[in-house]
Amino acid sequence: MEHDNDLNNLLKNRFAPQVPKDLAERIIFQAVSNLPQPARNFWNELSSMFTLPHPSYVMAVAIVIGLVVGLQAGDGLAMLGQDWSSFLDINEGGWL
Amino acid sequence: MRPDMASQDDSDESLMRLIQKGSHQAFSILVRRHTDRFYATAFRLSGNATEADDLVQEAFLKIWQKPTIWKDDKGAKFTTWFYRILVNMNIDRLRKSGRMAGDAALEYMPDKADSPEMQTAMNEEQVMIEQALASLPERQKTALNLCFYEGLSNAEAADVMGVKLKALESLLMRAKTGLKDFFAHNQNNRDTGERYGTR
Repeated sequence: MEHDNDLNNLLKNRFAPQVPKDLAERIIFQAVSNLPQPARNFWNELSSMFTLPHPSYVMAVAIVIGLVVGLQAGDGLAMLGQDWSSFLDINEGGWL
Repeated sequence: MRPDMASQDDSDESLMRLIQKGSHQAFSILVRRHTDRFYATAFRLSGNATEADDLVQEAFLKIWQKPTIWKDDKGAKFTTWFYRILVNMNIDRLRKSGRMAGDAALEYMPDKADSPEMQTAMNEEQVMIEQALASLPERQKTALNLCFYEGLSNAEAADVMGVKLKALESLLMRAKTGLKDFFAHNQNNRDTGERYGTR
């Protein structure tokens, strides 16, 4: 028993290592650096290159464009009517 | 309902549950709380500052990358479980480096205490203690480290090492006998510079 006590007392004097001051921070940083990235699917990647707008957006834009064109075309139709009447008058007393 | 936020007051086991949900904050708290303690353990197991540094890093990163290895069984204690990871990693490291042959005793190890970093910090008695411990077979040294230096009970140490209680007690007894023989022999032969290794 006395020998055990002597041995225990001796072992208690074992060298105690000094912990590197930045060890914890290095571990935490490494964990952040290794955060898992979301899985990338080939088909998802491919479809993202050809992204189409939602149909409702397409309809809305088409309606707006149609209205704009339609309002502008109103003047054109009147001009077309004038062209017709002049076209009909073209050969009156003409070279025939 | 309180969101899953980690705090300094959380127990180790609670932090592990949060880590399993991906909480880096919980991981940071756990690392800062236990790095010093487990570095000391790793140093005693490996006898080398660089390897101790690597062991602790790998062990913590392992639980971050694979948190599901923690089984939240009733009564499971984080520190005991982490000791097991460190011990197993150390064994793997020794096997990879070819310094361990199953359960066979190591041949006498060269003086790890002779590395410059340790020599400057250690006195003669401490150098002899390191030499004595390095001369022990790995399992005896591990048992002694866990019970004497980490303060684990025999039952806890046996659980960490994956052995039965009687086997652990046998390892401890043989370790103490080996150390006593080492010190007695080196005390007698100090003047001649003869070194003695145990098997």
